[in-house]
Amino acid sequence: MLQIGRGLRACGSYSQGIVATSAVRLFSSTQGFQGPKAVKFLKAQKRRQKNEVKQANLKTSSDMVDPVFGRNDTPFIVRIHAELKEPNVLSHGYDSKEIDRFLAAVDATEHEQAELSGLNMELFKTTDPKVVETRREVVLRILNMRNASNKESMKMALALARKEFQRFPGDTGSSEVQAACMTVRIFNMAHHAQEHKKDFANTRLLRILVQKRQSILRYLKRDDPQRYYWTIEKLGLTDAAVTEEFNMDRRYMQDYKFFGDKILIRDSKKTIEAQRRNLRTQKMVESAE
Amino acid sequence: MARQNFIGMVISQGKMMKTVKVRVETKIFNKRINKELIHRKDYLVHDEAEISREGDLVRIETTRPLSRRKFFAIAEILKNKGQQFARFEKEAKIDVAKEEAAKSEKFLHRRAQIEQENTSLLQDIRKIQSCLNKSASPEELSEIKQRYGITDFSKEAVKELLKLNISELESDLAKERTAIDTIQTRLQQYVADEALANEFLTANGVQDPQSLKKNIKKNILRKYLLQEHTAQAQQQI
Repeated sequence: MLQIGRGLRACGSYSQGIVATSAVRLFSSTQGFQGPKAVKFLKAQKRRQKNEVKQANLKTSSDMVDPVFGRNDTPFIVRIHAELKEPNVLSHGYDSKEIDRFLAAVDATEHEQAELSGLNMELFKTTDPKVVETRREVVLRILNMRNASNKESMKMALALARKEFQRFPGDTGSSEVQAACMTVRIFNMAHHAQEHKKDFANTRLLRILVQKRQSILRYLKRDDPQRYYWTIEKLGLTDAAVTEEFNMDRRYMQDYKFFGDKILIRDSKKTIEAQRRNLRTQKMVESAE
Repeated sequence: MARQNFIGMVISQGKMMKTVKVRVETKIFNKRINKELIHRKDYLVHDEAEISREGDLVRIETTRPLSRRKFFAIAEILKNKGQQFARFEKEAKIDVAKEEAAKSEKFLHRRAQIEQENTSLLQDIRKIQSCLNKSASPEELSEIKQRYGITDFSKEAVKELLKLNISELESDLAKERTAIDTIQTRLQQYVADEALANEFLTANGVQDPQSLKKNIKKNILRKYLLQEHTAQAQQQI
């Protein structure tokens, strides 16, 4: 029976054809796979292949989420990045309205001083609005978040994340705030690691950070499950991405295309052949359906 | 005869129809190492209503063999933790989608508002100053008044308009400092004068303040002084 199986697997499509047409047995040939037992075997084989394909698809299905980056286009992350790129968002905690007020105050004081000095107000000339406008532009450009260092933009991103996840105003330490802040930092570090692929020290720190986030989320699941599910949904993660064992190794980097299509692990011929075979059976089963 | 009973946790659900996998843990004494070891066994269990979820604690009972590997059925669910988690997950998806939609809408709205805003504070201030000098044209000013929510113009009002955040913070800090100082001095006063302190504590509803220890009394005094201060601050607002 086993031998028959091997033979059948070798010529899968051929045997399919035979099942459909084998009404007459030719005694001159020694084909053993036309009896009722063989038919039964073929049916079982088909069932098994179908199941194998199903299992393989389950493993690589869409609910496998990247444990580092989470789902693509998570609204929370997209919004935070958009906030940083808005025009007239200033670094170092400045507000663009504050700059306007400052420039107006300078102008007002000039006016006041002229008044106090007893100058004839008819002769007093206000500063050219164009000059004031350029001043404003210069100050805004210097302080703009787009021209700020990464450190500054990270500060703002972290503040925004804290604000969204806090349980009460001023909350900086609850598990969800910690997880959100770690997520922002993970994105920052991961982009850095992608650009500087030889920076092994920082890649290691990123790996540590991802594990830390996992563990704090696991704690949150024990502590407050409702809040936990809200948090992971918001951060674009899934329960499996948090609770299952994960190592940010080369295998992960290759599977989730961390460095694009770069091949990081060369599989042995045996595994490549097995994968190819799996793919072939998958196609076969799908076409049969 | 009583049926065989086990208590176990659902570890796999939704992969087979009306069937879940339940892990039963028992302690088995190992003679060689003279110690109890945990022995695990997984059973396929019939779940007719398909209500149990991964993580539920269930009691299972033998039935007639339902298939080659299935001869247990769920008798009762002891802790429906798994069901709860599944519900939370489902709710979270809806909640977060709603929340994110609202937040992104707010963000876009704010962006549109900033784009529309093309008034210049500088020009408004200049206008106000010229009007203050000439004391005329109230029609022009009514618009500005509306914009900044001011009733009448004076030099103080203009100053208020031009007040920077940092100066506001400075004044807040100074206020905070004086408040701390006054509380500290009052506390010292109460610590020095026991009768006064007892009176203050009884007024705040502390029973038998005489019997309190010195350090505890000080803490309680500080607490009520702080409460008093915050109440006063709120009243001023």
